[in-house]
Amino acid sequence: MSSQTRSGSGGGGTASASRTCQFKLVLLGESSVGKSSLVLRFVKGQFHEFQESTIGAAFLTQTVQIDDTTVKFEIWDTAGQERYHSLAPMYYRGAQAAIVVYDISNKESFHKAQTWVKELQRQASPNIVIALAGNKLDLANKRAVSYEEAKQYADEHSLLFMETSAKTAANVMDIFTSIAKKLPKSDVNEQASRQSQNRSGVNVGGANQNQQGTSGCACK
Amino acid sequence: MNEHLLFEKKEIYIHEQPKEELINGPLIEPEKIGGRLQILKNKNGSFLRFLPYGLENVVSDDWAFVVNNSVLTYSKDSNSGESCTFENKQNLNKYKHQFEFNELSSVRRIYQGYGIPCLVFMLTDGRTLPNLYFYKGGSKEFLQELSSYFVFKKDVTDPRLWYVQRQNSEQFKQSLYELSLFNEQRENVMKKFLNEPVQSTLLGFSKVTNILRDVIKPSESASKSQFYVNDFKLDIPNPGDDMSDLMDSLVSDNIHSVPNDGYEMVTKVDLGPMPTVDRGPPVQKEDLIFDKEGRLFNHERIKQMIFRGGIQNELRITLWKFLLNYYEWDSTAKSREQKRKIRVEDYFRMKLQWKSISDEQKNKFSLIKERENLIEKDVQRTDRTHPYFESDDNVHLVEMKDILMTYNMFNFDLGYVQGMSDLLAPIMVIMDNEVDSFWCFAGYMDKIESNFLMDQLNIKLQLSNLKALLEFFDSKFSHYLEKNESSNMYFCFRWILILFKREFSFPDINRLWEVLWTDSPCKNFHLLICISILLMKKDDIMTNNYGFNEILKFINDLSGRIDLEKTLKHAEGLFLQLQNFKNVPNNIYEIIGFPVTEKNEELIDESRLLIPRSSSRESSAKLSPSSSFKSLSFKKDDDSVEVLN
Ligand SMILES: Nc1nc2c(ncn2[C@@H]2O[C@H](COP(=O)(O)OP(=O)(O)OP(=O)(O)O)[C@@H](O)[C@H]2O)c(=O)[nH]1
Ligand SMILES: [Mg+2]
Repeated sequence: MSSQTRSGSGGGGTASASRTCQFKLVLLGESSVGKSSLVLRFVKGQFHEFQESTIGAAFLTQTVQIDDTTVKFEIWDTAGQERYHSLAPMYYRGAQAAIVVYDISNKESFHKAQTWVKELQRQASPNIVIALAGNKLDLANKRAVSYEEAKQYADEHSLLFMETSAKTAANVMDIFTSIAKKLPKSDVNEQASRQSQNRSGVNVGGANQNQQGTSGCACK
Repeated sequence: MNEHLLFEKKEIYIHEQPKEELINGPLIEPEKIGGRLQILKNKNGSFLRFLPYGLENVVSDDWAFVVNNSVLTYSKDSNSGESCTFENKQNLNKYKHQFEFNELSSVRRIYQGYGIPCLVFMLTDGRTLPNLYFYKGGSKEFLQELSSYFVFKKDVTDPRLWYVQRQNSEQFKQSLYELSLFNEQRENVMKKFLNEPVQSTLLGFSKVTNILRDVIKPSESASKSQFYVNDFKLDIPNPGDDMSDLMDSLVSDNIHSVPNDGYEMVTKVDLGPMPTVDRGPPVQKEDLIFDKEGRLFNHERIKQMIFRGGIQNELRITLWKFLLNYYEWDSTAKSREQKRKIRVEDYFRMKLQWKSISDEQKNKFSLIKERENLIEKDVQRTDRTHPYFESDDNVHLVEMKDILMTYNMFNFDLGYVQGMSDLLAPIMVIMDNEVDSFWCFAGYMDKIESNFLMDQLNIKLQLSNLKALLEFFDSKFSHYLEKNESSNMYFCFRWILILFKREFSFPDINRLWEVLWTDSPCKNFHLLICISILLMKKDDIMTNNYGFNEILKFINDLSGRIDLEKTLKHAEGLFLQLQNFKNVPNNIYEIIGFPVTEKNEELIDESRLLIPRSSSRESSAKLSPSSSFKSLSFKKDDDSVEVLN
């Protein structure tokens, strides 16, 4: 049931003339709506019918090429269950983008998505780009949330909106690329490899700083 | 696809651990996936690729034959003659790995389990490629080749680790020089230190401690190699290299530093040598002695044996019931029979409670409906790759749902929380019976229920205890985590919440859990297991300079790659070190639960019993409870070292 459309890395461009931007993106939404599946599709081109539930959080990266800019996403995939809600701020803190996911065949998950949007607009970085993803588009015969309803909600709250399917890959690349396009890519320096600084060999006392987790600056 | 092949090495293998169901018994050879390791170039730059045989377009000496989704590959090799493999092509894709050169963070060359050199590539985002085994040699040559694309810097603490340095091509020469150290014996390094102490110390403080440690160690080399052989059960051509991995983790340097005007006071807490710990054989039927009334006569000893070596798989169905409080340890056969009757009745009574809720009722009972939804979702995706749960419409999936729903009735205040189904699955596989699985699961939940409470306080407490332990055992690493926003230890959340369930295969998790269920040798032993894994992996984290994101990814990706027996030995070693160290701070004592003043004597006795019978005398003699502190002061800027004493 798994198909391969692109291989994990090596997909993104790294021509030394192009500039590189790095963004932190977080996925939120009720348990089992398909957050991990969307990421897996985007990063590895795969789909697992039996994708296990996320415990804690997972971190993945993937790059997309937008014109002459390489956009590197640092993706945080969180656990959906209410019990672990209190951990979420740790992951959306400092995020420049978020995808709030619901399952089009599950009305309840759409309501939950709305509370996530509210929380993000209240607590996350003010300029965060939020996308709403109505996932499991392939289950259209079991649809419980209409396209129009969700679209209207998204428009009212200035969200990007797409219906996706991690299973068929429909709109998965698109939603990430749309986000990438919407993110500010000013302030660009040429090619940076953020990790290479400060490697003076001896590490006693932990002299090295590594701050990319909180840095608000997206592009280097 | 405009790719140019720049370099290629054939006969490289990835080891895939065999399917779980096959390895409940003896060790089975891992499945090997052969392929080529290539350096390629396209318009975006250079990249490295592992291409499994069967996926290449051009086949040279070897040939492949594609039928449907499967590939028959044939290859001639000089040593073992010819080989033929028949594989599913779809599956092959998952073994294809590639990364761009600018993603490479470090590479390590080690001899793994079977004495075969292998390369481990780690990437800047925390990913680690699977070990690439060079069955026909050539790993050095490959590294040499890579070194024409990178500036490698040899790590100061781990001589087998090279990390990529990007700023400055000046160091290029240095890297070549360091690569040549491949051939250098450790003895030479020591000799160099002894002859040219000044120059060598300039190489860095950590290296000095390494060398000093090696100088101090030779007396123990006998026990070292014994340990080594135990670990890998094979003769290894050059144990020196791999040993240092083991020793690095076992003799973790405990450097407690206090910042002090450009100097750092470094005090080294000497916990004494890491005691040698042996594991024992699993408990077998012959080990159980029942008295006339069917009482397990020697249950204390059995518990100790379980701690030391686990339980033979066929016997788990019996002994897990004792470990999980289904039966009392000192129960008679008759009382067990009665107990079982009650258990069965109780279970079905509670099951009926939710089974008999009508749809109409359920619509007005949103809490139970919600939980049922959650349970159904999780049952569909819990361990579905295990044969026991594999097929759809599987009776075991129905059972899993029923058990979790019934547990929800049994413990309604707690309800169902994600993670519980993970804890249940291995129990179901062993018990293969709904009622027994339920009660064993309930017994397990009794032990760790607080992990799942709404406020998450207990998880937070455990994470903070973990941090305290790490600070004690390795303050250097602990500080590193602080500087990288990881002092909350959240990257260990999954380990603790479901007790490593996602980190190990089924056979390993069975073993680990039964060891933990004995509650030996101290409170919170699972935290010492965390520490042990972290100490074994800290070099990877620090050398690659991983931050918050990468640490979490790296730790998540350790799943399936942790050597359980080695970890158990190490964790017990840490416990013994604590037990024999005189100046253990109170907070640490509180975490592991000793000494409880009056009970002290007794506990020490018990732990002596835990040391394998044969070597108990030696091992305890080895633990010199020396509490010597060595003071070192060193200046950050130039790495020069002054020994103050
Ligand atoms: N039909 C269909 N099923 C999907 C799709 N995306 C995910 N699924 C399935 O839905 C289930 C849950 O998917 P996950 O990706 O694990 O959901 P999640 O949001 O990450 O869940 P948590 O980790 O618990 O928060 C899995 O069985 C997936 O196979 C989709 O687009 N179509
Ligand atoms: Mg998930």
